[in-house]
Amino acid sequence: MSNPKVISHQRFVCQSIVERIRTLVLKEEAQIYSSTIEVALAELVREQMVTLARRHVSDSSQPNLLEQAIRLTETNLLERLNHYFDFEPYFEMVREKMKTSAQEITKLQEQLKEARFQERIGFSERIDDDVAVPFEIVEIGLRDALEGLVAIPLAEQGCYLNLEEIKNSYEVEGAQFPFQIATENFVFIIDDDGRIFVSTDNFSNSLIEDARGMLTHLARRLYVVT
Amino acid sequence: MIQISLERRSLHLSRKEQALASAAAQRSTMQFQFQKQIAAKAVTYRPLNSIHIQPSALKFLIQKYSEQLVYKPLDEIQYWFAYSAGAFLEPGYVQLYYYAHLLSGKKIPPSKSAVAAIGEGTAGLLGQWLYQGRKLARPNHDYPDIVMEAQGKTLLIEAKATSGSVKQAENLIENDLARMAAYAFACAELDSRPVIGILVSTALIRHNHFHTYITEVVI
Repeated sequence: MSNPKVISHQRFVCQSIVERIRTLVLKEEAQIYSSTIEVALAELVREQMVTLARRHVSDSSQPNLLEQAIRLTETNLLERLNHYFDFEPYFEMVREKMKTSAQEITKLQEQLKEARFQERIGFSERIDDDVAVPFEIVEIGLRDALEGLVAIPLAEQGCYLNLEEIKNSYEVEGAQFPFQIATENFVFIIDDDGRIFVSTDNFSNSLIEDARGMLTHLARRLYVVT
Repeated sequence: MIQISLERRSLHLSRKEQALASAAAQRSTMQFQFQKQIAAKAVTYRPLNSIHIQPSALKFLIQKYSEQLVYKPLDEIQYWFAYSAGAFLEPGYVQLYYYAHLLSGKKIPPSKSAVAAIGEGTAGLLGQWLYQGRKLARPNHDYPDIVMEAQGKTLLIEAKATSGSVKQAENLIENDLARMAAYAFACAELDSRPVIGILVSTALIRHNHFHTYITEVVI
């Protein structure tokens, strides 16, 4: 079995929208309003808002976070499409649907900024050294009550998962994503976007460090370029 | 490990049945006619091999697929099963009469959000494991619960769940069938790919054993 390729959720949704629009254009049905494209666009815009809010990136030329996310999503899609497409009928609906989410994310953004300043939120660490594919280890939850750790591959174009190599050392359960690796103390979950998750509910600090060490070790071996 | 036993059926709807579904989705009086028509097709559920999943893997999938604001739904439901089993008479639990105000001859209900969240996580799991699907969107406060892509097809997945009987889980599908059929039919007309509507209804039998019915609506 060859190594499966994984791409981020945002990239996957983006690709799907682009492919769907190309098919509609080929069939000369670009004017048809597809509900699947609409929900996929809403998903992308929401993800974009969350990314902007986490990074505290604001654009003074845009009236609010929702508009900023919509413009970025549109620009990104048009670059991939390589031809003009009128997204406005879809974005009209997305604006309506995402209004409340945008308000919530905007409010939480300020609270996150404050909590980070007070060092109450888990940290993330980028791993670049001696790896085929850089990745990030993100602590989930509050500093003194971490709920889990997640490894996220950072390759823009995606990467491959060397599952065969992992299977030489661990019993990998499941025939499809999400795969599960159960060790004596931990259960690692490998999903279709390359994320590896491990729950650390009620773990002692030393056990969390063990989980982090093993997660980093797994990510180093799992993420490859071919 | 959590065991999930499965039964599945596939409904191929004719044009007339799709039209009836559309009418039933609009008018409740047509619902009976639609259900009668589907019952006449006599498409029965067939058991599939049970699947097993680590609780922390299901927890991960609940976070991925649920929009319920509920903390640790698997723990919540385990606590409720412990209460329902009489375990609260043993040392180590809160004092009794906690639920006394709810007692009126009826069964004490668990958290609806926890049950719904587990149903959504289970539906996402089956979308990935049974259909090799990948999440395209998790619409907020919208229908259906999950939109996936699988081998060139669009999957529209609606999750249901109950802490009641297996029969109740089956009934939840019957009650939503017209709506799903009408929606899948409309989406198929507008989508550039084949569309399958999938209703996934899970009965929480025990904290570590669920039974799930799957109905595919093929347009």
